[in-house]
Amino acid sequence: MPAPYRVLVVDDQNIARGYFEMHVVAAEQYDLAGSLPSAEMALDFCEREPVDLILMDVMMRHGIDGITAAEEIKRRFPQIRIILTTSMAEASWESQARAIGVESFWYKEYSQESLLSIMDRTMAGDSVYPSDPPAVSFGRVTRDELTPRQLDVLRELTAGSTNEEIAEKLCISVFTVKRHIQDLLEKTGFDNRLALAVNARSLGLVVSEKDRLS
Amino acid sequence: MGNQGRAVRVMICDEQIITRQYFAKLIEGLDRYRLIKSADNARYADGYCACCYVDMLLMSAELRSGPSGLDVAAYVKRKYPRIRVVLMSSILSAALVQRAREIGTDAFWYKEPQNLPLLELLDRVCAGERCFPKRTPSVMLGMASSAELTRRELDVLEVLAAGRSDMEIARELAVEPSTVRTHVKHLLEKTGFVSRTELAVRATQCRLVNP
Repeated sequence: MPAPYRVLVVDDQNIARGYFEMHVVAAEQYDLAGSLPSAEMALDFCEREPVDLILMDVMMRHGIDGITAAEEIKRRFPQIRIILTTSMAEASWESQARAIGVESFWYKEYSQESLLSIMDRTMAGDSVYPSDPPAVSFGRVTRDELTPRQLDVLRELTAGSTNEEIAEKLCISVFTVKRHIQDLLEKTGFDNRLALAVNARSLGLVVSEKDRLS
Repeated sequence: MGNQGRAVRVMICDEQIITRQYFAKLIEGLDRYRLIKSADNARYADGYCACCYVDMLLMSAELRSGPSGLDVAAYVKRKYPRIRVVLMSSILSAALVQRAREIGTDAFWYKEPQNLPLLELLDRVCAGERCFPKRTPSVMLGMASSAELTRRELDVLEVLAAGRSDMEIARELAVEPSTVRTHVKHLLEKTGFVSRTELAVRATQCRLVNP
C-alpha cells in the first residue's frame, strides 16, 4: 500500500476541525499532518512540512480568508491540492475558487456527497464541484426562487449599504434597487430590509465581499 | 443513570449536520454513551423522552425549525426531571446562559470557544454536576468590545436583530420608545456603524445575537 497522503486541516471552529480530524484519522489512506485555526498558520506550515491535501474553511474569524489563502498557497505550492469548505450557503465562491485553481469545493451543511468521497476523488485527480447551489429556505421561499440580481442586492444589503451605495456598486438605478428590495420582501415575507439582511447573513445565503475579507 | 454497565442513551437536536456528525463520531466506540437519535429539530424530543429511551438530551438553542430548543429543554426538565439536559449554543450571550439556568437545565455548552471539551462536560453532567460557563467570552462589534455594552443595550440589540421597530422593541422590553432610541444611538456611537441594519448584521455575524 502506498504511503498515506498528508492532510492539513484549516478551520477556525473547533467542531469543524474535530469533524475533519476524525475523518482523516479514521481513513487509512490519509495521515493528519496538522490542524490549524488560521490561514496564516497554514501558509507557515506549508513552508516547513510536506502536505498533499488541504481542507480549508472560507470564512475565518482571524486573519485572511480561505479563498485569499488558497490563491497564495496555489502560487507558492502548486502541487498541494485544496478542498475549500464552508458552512455558509453562499454559492458565488465556487467560481472564485475555480478561477484560482482550487481542486474541489464542499458545503459542510448541504453537500450530498461525503467528505471522504470528495477527498478520494480529489486525490485521484478529479476536480469536484457541486452541480447545484445549496438548496436553502429563506423566509417563505427557497434560493432558486430568487433571481441572481435579487441575490446580488441582498448581498450588498448585508454589508449595511444604502440604496444609493447598492445602486452604484451594481450599476443599476436606485429605483431598480428599491424594486428588487420590495420584491424580496414580498417573496420572503420578512417585515423590512433589516430582517432581510440579518436572516440572509445568519443563514449564510449571501456573504458580502467586505464581510469575507474583513 | 449511574447504573454500572448501562450506556447513557443520548439524543441530540442540532440544526448543523457537522455538529451532529461530530458528536456521533465523538462517542462512537465509547461504551458509556449510546446515540439513540440525532435530529435537526426538536419535534420528536418529547416522544423519545416519554418512551424512556433518553437519559441525556443535547439541545441547540438555535434550531431553525419546529419548537425552540429553550422551550423544549424547559418542558423536558419539568416533565422528566431525571433526564439530563445540556443546552448548547454558538451565540455568546450571558442572558441565554441565565435562561438556561432558570429553566433547570443541567449544563450549558458554548460551541465556540468551548467552556469545556464536550466529552468532559458530558461525563461531569452524568456524575451529577451542573456545568455552566463562568464567563461569557467577549467579541469585537465594530469598534466596541461586547464587554463594553450594557445588559440593556444587548437586550435592545437582540430584539432589533429580530427585525422589530422601536415601538415593538419598547413594548417587548417594557420601556419608552425614546429610551430604545437612546440605546440604539449609543450602540451606533460605540460600534461606529452607520445604520441599524449594519449594526444588526454585524451583531449576527459575530454571534452576539440570533435573528
